[in-house]
Amino acid sequence: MNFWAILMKDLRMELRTRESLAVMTVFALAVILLFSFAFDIGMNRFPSFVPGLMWLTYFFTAVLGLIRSFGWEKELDAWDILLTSPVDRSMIYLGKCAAFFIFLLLAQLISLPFFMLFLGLPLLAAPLSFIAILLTVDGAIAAVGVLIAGMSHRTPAGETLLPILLFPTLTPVLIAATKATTTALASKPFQEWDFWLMLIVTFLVLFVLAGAFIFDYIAEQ
Amino acid sequence: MDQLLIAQGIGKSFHLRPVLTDVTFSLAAGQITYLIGRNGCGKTTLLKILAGVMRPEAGIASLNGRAMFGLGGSWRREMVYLGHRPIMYQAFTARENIRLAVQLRGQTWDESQFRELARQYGLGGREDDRIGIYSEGMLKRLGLIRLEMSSWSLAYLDEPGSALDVDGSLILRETFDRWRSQGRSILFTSHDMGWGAAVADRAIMLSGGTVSEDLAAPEEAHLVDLLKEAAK
Repeated sequence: MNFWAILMKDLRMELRTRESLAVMTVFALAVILLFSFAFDIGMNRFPSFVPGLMWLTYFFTAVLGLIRSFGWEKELDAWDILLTSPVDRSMIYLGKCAAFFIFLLLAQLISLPFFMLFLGLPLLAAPLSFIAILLTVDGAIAAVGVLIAGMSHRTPAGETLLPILLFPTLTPVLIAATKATTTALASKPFQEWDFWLMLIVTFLVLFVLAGAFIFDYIAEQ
Repeated sequence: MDQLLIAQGIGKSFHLRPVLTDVTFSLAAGQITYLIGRNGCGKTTLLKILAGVMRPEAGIASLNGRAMFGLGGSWRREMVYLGHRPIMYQAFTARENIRLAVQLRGQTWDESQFRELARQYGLGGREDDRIGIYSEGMLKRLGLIRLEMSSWSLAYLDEPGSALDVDGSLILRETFDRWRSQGRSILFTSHDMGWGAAVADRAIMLSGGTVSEDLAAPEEAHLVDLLKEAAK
């Protein structure tokens, strides 16, 4: 019940302001455009560095989205309405994770065709594999991102602190995502990239469980 | 009187500077208590700790016999908090904000009650405006509507009268009297000593990180003297 209330609150807020999605999408598209000029990919076969560029782009896209998503909570001290309500705080965490997961996925759905078009990312080579990687990586980014943003957003240097803390924490996921995407899109068998997918899934499960458990402590000042 | 809130040894510091060291007091049901103290003495910090917004470094507390500060939030069902700012989403309308607050408390939405309260608090016809365009006084009134729509036994109000005009102050005073008659308790701060002393049954003063004075039926002149003494 409270999970849905918090999820719907964030979705309604985005529908009303269109701030998160606009910032995330515009950033991703600008980076793709820049990269397309920087790397003369042309009609080359799948350049192996593109998945790395893609996940780095989506990391920074996620940072921008998280800053905006928690910016709503800072205005008029709105976060306190969640904290002072008789809501299990794990539901606050999970609700915000779910909302952010949706925002990130939407930003990717808009920008991924441009990765295909301008940077030669062969998404159609292994679409199901790519969807599995995309969903698990986005879940992990949301799980870690909301946990760290929930901790940092009330500190004076919260917006600076977020990427500083988030990048090292997410580095294993970004490496695994890059390796899994590169291998899967090269149409290699699942056995060659299942380790990386399992690593991402493990990270996702661990952080969702840890976040749901410790959010009660970190949500307060 | 039954003790609704019992707080023992509450402590909190910021950047190693202790603000609250050993705050111990209790609140009775149906009692309006005025929390006074100099700027920076920890009034807002204490209210935020008791409301579950901040975590204390020391101390225990119970609300209606339920332990506070631990895992689980069922004790928060008994209380409401209205801070300096209205703790609402400025992109949402007044109705959306109050509806969310009611929903988060697990209560059912009563549209006719909301409309009636909006009229009573002078916000009739503005229910569907985004609160980002509300004035400070309107936000305070909307905060009071949130409290009216919620079920609770104890309210923590941080400067509830600030930004309210004369009409708003009168409404607030009537509201305090009504809540008292309903057996609800209030712990509030206010820089308007005259107003605070007039509505309160009791005053407690924070100084040096502890409760330094506890007065029944406070009078403005006495409270002013106490604050002047604390400033020395």
